[in-house]
Amino acid sequence: MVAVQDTVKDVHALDVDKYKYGFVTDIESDMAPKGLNEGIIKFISAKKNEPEWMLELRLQAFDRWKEMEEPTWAKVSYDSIDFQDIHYYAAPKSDADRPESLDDVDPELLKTYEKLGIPLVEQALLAGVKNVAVDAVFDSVSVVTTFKESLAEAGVIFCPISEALQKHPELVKKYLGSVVPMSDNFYATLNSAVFTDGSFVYIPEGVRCPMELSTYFRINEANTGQFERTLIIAEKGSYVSYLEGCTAPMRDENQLHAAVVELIAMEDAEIKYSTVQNWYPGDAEGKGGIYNFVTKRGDCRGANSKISWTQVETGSAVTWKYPSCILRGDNSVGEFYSIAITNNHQQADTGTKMIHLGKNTRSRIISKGISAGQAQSTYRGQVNINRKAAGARNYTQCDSLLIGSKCGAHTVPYIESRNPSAIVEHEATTSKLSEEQLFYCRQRGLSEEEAVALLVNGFCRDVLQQLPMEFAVEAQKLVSISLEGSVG
Amino acid sequence: MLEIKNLHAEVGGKEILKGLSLSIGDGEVHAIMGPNGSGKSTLSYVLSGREGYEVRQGDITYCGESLIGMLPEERAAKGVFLAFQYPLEIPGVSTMNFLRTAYNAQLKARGVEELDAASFLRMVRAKADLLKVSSEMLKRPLNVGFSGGEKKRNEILQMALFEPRLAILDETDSGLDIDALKLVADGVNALRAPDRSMLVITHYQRLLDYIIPDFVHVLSNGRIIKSGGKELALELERDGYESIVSSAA
Amino acid sequence: MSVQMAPKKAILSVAASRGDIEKPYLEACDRVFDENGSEPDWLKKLRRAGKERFKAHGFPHRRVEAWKYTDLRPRMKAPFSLALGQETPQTIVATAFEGISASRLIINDGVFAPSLSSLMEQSGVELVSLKQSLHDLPDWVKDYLELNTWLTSSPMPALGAALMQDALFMRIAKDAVLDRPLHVIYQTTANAAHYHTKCVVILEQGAKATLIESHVSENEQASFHNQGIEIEVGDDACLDHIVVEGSAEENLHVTSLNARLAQRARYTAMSAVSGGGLVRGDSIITLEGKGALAQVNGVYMLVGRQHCDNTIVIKHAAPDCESAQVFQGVLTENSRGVFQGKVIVAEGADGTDAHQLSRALLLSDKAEADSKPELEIYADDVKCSHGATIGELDKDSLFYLRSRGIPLGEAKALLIEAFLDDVVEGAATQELIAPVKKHISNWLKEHESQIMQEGLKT
Repeated sequence: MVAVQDTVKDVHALDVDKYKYGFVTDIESDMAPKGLNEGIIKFISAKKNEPEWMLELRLQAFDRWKEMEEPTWAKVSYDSIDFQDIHYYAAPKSDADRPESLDDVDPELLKTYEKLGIPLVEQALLAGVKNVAVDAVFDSVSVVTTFKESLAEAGVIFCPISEALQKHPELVKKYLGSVVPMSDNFYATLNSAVFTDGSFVYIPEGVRCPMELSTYFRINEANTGQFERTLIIAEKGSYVSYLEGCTAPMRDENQLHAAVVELIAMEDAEIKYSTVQNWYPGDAEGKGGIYNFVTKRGDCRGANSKISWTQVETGSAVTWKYPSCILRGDNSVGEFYSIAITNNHQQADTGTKMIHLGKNTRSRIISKGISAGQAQSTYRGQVNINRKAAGARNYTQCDSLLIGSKCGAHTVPYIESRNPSAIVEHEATTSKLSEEQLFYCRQRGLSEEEAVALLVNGFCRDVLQQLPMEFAVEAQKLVSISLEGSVG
Repeated sequence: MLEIKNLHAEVGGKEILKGLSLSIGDGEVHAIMGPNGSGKSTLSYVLSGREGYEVRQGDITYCGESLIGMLPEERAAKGVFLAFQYPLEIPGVSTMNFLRTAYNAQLKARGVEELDAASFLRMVRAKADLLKVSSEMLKRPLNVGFSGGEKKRNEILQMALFEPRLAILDETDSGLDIDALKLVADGVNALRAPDRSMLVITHYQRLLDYIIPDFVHVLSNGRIIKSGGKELALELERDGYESIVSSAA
Repeated sequence: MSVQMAPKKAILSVAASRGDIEKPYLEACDRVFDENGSEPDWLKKLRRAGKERFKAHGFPHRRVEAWKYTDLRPRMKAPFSLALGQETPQTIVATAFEGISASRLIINDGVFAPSLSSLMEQSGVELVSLKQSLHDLPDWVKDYLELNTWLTSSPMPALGAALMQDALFMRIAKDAVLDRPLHVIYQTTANAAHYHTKCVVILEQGAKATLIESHVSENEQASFHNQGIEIEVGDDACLDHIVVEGSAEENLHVTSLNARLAQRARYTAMSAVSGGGLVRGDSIITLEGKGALAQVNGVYMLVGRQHCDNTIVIKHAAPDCESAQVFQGVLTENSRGVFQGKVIVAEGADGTDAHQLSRALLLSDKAEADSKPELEIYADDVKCSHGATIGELDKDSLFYLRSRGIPLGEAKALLIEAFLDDVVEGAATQELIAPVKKHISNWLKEHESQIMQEGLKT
């Protein structure tokens, strides 16, 4: 927990420019014209040199999407999106001939990732040094994926999904849309029609992925949307830990990010999926920022499988996101650990669904929501115990912390049980940052901001502990920085 | 080292301290006794700078400097320490982490280089052993699930660690059984030093059997109505507050 | 393309059948308008506004968020016809409160039966029946009616306003402390009928009263009671409210309760539901004055295909108010228990203390429990919490009791009784709790086979 000290230092170091990822990379881009129609979808599919069946799926999804309506049930409000005023494809020109190795990557892009603090170099695999393989997605394309060869030796496939469509079409065809159906919801359907890139991970039977895998998503161009698609398959007895990070430049207009993530865990497999979401949140007056409308779902398909979602949501102007687990296999386990921090005019409606189908399935939900400024934060979650899910168990703890009198915190749980041997427990609390605790810390010498950072990190501890060590420190800093200026 | 002159202070618009004066010299231990509602805790909060405790009149000079308007953390860095009557529980923040964060914040405020993790750990362990604070307790979230005695020992541990110039002990005896009280008092006595003054606030004389004060003051209705040596505490114990309050009136 | 057409068609067919279900009720409205041509204009206007509102929304169904777990539409397909009620019923059905000294007000199939009631001699209470005093209504009743509260929330009270055959207005005078409870008995005797009641209870400043409502029946074919109750608790006034739903297992019963609390007002409610095929209790309680307190508790015990839905919205609109909700129930056979509790803390309602607890015992693998405890908070100085559990009886406790020689059935009954009594305790005076407890224990005795049936897996 030394990190708290570091956090405190960083808070001071960053008092000038709090969103340090807000710069723009000056790079020439290859862009599709604005607008959405069959032609654009064909353009995207052709750019990716996709098999015919993929294009057909895209067009089917597009037909469905045209008949769908934007969901309005979430507790968020924003100006309606003009879907014809968005570029659905943007890629650095230098990416046209896909770079085969790091040496071929545009130095401007390498500089960007360096600035973002993301290691795109493949350090030699030294004993004791923990490596992280990175897939870097820049606007609509993956610009580089590190450690591909080392991973391939272990039989692990980690590549952009566009590449997987070329090299492993049978795997993509088998699993894509098998967890989140093509027309699952408005944004997922849109994504199915126009997705551009994202990561593909395949862990073969019995393999424990030798390193952390991660994808960094970056939106750079103006007036673009990012529609990434991620698919992770963990075969019998395998294990993988995956982390995604997201940043975007500071712009006055809102930008749309509508992703779909599908996870499949077979018998005895485990997938740990962590997110540190730090899209540009908009300025203090609520101008600009990313609309983050994401569908994430994991399928515990095999017995004894486990899927664990951990998310630290500090960015985006509006977040609409419910990473869920379908607990199909007997004894399978689903977890959802979430920190959602909203400050200024941010709005977040996030939570999870735990669908218990198999016997003795277990789920655990720990959600920590923090609202400051004029922000609105909602936890929305569903726990459903099917008739056949004998012995199922769920535990939900859902806490909200309010800082200031202009913000809101809401909790909307749906708890449904149809099996008498199942046990479902739900607890929730909402309270304000304790004035007594703040004074106690200050009496011991902490400044008000340090005290808030300490208390909020303490409030979030149960979730922060779930992050891989490499990212826990970063997340702690983010927690403190996001709340800057929320007190006093 | 501490000079309180004609102090008037309000809480929520209500005047609680009504012209309190008190002078404490280096290394002295002063006890303030008084019935419930006399303003004892208010005095401790005014000295440590809690929000909502407004000084309306008078002054507090500490080491030649006025404390009025100073932030709580500034006072802490200058050596003002308050041992709380009800130490706060802070879930999710381990005791050790809290101690280190606070310790380094104070060092930084004084412009002293921060202590590295290993030396800090050694120092805390040594001081904790004396107060029978186990390393298991140091790992637990601050004061969460601690017994009354453990919480008070944790307060004294912090006092030992931060080495304040002025230590204010607010009803440190409340909620303690006799063994716990002795342990805490031993801890406090070990910290008596020529450059450290103490202000011991208590309702009962019992604590003063273990922490023997140089001076005793009786606080009633926001003012000190009687001062004396340690024998004054015994007098109070024998006759009760009622007789002293009425004879002073 | 044909696949995509399917859902559109489905929507159209639903829309068509929707009108079908509401049609007989709209026709009933027109008949009521025709037959009551001599009613005062304001009442005609109210009835027409009620019909229009109902027509616009129809019966609530699954896709209306607040009715997600209780779909009224399929239930309303039954051919109910409007009951006209009788002021002098042939029978008087016994309630759980026989032997309790109270002022009895009998409402028979929606019409107040003055000759069988016993209120008149109670001091501090004014009672007005809409039917009895239609052309001679006191101003406070007219003033109340002008608020149009029946036309603002769900369509159900609006339908009630259009079709009511009577309405009861009670006012407890300033500082009056009633020496015995007001006991409103709703009895259903008509077969295959729907009827609509309205009851308004106003406590003036400092008044204290207890209101008991009993729902009983003696009909042979299922009927539908659409109940509306409006409560106003003035400054420093205090109302205890006890409801026992014990009518036949086929009857449908929808209650829309609207309570408003002024400064330091106290409202404690306790409901026990064992009757009715579908019972939906819809309560909106608004804490309008500083320092008000609302405690809303309920138990339910269900068998067969019974469906009980308690939906409570508590609005904290003023500072320093407290609210608590505790709902616990036992579900056997194919029954379904629903709890939806929502606490809204408005901006500026600082010092709010609000708690919710919902616990369900699921004793059959065909039963279902749904819970949606919601918090919506716009102020920061609050202490709000909710807890919800769904599970079966504690196996260790069962084993303990059996190891002491108590047979399984009895052990279960004992644990269920303790579980339910826990909620009832403290909701009113001992004198009034006793009959509710008795009601629970009688139910347990009568339904031992259901309790034992499918839960028997130990």
